[in-house]
Amino acid sequence: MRAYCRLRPKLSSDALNDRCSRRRAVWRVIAAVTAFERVNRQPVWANPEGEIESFDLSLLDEKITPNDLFFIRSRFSPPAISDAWNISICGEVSKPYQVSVKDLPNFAQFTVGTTMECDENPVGGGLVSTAEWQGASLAALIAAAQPSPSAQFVRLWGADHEYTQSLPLLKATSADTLLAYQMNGDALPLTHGGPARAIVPGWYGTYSVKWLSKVELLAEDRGGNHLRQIRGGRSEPVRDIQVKSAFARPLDGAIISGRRFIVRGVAWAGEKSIAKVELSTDGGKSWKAAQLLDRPQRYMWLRWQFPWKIPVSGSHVLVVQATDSDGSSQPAERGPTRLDDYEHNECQRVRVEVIWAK
Amino acid sequence: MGKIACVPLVLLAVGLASCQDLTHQAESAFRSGEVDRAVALARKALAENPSSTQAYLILGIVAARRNEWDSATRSFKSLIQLAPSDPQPYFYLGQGYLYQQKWDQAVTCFSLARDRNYPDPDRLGIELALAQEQAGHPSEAMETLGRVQPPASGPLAAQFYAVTAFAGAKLNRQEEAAEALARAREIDPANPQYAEFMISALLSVNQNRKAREEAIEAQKRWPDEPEIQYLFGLADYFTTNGELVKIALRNLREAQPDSYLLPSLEGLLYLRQNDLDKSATAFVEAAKRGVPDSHLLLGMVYRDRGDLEGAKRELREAERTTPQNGQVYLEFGKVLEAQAKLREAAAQFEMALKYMPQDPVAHYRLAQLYARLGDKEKSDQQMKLYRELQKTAPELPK
Repeated sequence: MRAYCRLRPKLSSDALNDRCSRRRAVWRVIAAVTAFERVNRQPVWANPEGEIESFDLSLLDEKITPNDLFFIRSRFSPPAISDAWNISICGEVSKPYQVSVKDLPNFAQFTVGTTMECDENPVGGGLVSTAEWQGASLAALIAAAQPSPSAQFVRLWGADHEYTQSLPLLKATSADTLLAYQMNGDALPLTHGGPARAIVPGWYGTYSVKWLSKVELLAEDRGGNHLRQIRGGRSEPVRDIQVKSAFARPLDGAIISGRRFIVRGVAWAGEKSIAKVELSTDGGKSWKAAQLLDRPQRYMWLRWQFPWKIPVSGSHVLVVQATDSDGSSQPAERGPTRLDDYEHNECQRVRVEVIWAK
Repeated sequence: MGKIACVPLVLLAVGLASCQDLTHQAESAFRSGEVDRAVALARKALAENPSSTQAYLILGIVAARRNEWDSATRSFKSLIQLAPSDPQPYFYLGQGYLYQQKWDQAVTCFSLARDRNYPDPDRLGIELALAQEQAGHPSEAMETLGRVQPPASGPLAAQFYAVTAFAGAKLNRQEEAAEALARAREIDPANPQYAEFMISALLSVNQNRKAREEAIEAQKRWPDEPEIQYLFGLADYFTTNGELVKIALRNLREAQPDSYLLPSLEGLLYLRQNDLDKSATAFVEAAKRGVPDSHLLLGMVYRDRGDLEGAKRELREAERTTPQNGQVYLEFGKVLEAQAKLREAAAQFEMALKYMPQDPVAHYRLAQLYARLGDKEKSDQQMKLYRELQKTAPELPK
């Protein structure tokens, strides 16, 4: 507020001043580390037409991310949208047809809560958020077109430069796959794919095609364009979201002055649910269970917290590791044989400085 | 006779030698971090020689480090009595007063140290300027700083630029203040005070969106700094009507469960929930606890509740406690305008602009008011100034 400023003086004589200088020295180290990490966290691609905006995890509060904070990742800029937006259901079907967004409520309706993550989301990155999506069942839309027995895959087309992704018919027609036109109770915003987008719960966001214009049934897989590449192995599409967790607070480079701190964050596991979240406050030497604040359920992240009683001032490295319902835990480090830059789900480490006043 | 007379002198000499030895030991214990031992040795030295300045100095510094200000002050004052022409004890006493936020006393002590030719006049000048600025004498602070050679690095360099920034802002020398603040932050980036000041300064010129961005980054950097969390909530409230106030409040509660700032953030959260009664109750509590600007916020709530007389009462109190806060006059003007007291309202808006010459809302309101009063020339002039400011703040209404 206006004029709100109270300068706390600092003693500056040599005899009394060691606190300030220590703070500064510490800071230089933190600044160097965070600058380095920021550089390394830049995505490997960059498309001037697309849009990228992370969810700031430090603003995590409720389980559902508000629409205006939800991350945005678009390969291309949004297309021109008309009032009469139609979606074609075509390909290996007996009765191809077009449906307008206005008519979507005539199909089976449901709401699905999902945590959506971009497959290029770095460790600790904010290309992940959670929303409740409302819309029509994609299975119902496909069924109305009477798929041919040869149809095994579905290719989803976005109106942005004909961006496409294909997925097996089984996943496209699963009970939870949706053609959404609402997000958290509001009309689907343009930046999030409005007027209509696919929602493929538990799979990386690249499959939840925005500005959906065509649902094409195919006899053969036309392949995904995001491939998992392993040295000496076969390339295969990146699909279901891997178990992962992230800190909301403190974040890397934070300076803490108290003796207790409630560490917070989220964990998610795609089609599985989270079984446990563990936290280390000594760089991974020892682990303790974090408290889960939400009921574990598939598709959705849960919030966790850990009351940290800080034993000593100085530099601390916190590490978080989540384990899913199948018993898979986040790896400590990226496997050396992995050649692509997708699915980064290594344990997040944050370095914080605890500076206690004397 | 000669032998008898010599005995006390010999004893005295032995005593002095012993005392000197003790103070050396005390100093060495202090430097190696054995503070309790240093205190014990200094006390022992004083018992042997009550005029030991070095022993008083050690006791004063240790007490200051332990925030035992009465004890520190006693030691430094004893030191001054023993060596009234020595500038050092005045300097230490001044620093003690700085810590206790007794600005006027600090100014006096630093001035006395300066009169006694304190050996490091630049350091002294920077401390004196801080005390002057905080005591409400920004011009004198600037004058003092003008005689100082700014250090290139270190905490004093940061303080030099910080005081330049704070005093500059009070004197409405915004550009100079912003430049100095940037230097201070560059030199001492771990210090949350500069972020606090930056957020406050941005709010004070209605750059709410920028203030919010700054506050979001600051709450990440200093996640348990109470003032930062408070300003985070405040900046968010002024930008988005408080979508993140709940988070700021949670963070503040966790950082400092008994923080005097809590009722104010609670009041803002109630405001977001349109619960004016609960909000007013919270701001009354905040005012009791001395939260800056509580009376101003309370005045705004009363105005929103339609209680214009209540609003005026609180805004008068806000004016009394923070007479240089332009926002108070702006809000007062709005209340008077609502009461159709147009000339009085215009006078308030003019006062607001005296302290916030770059405030677009005040220019806009004044332009409209002058138009209603039939003074087209003045109205056009204010509107022109508003349009200029609008270029840098696109969120302002067209």
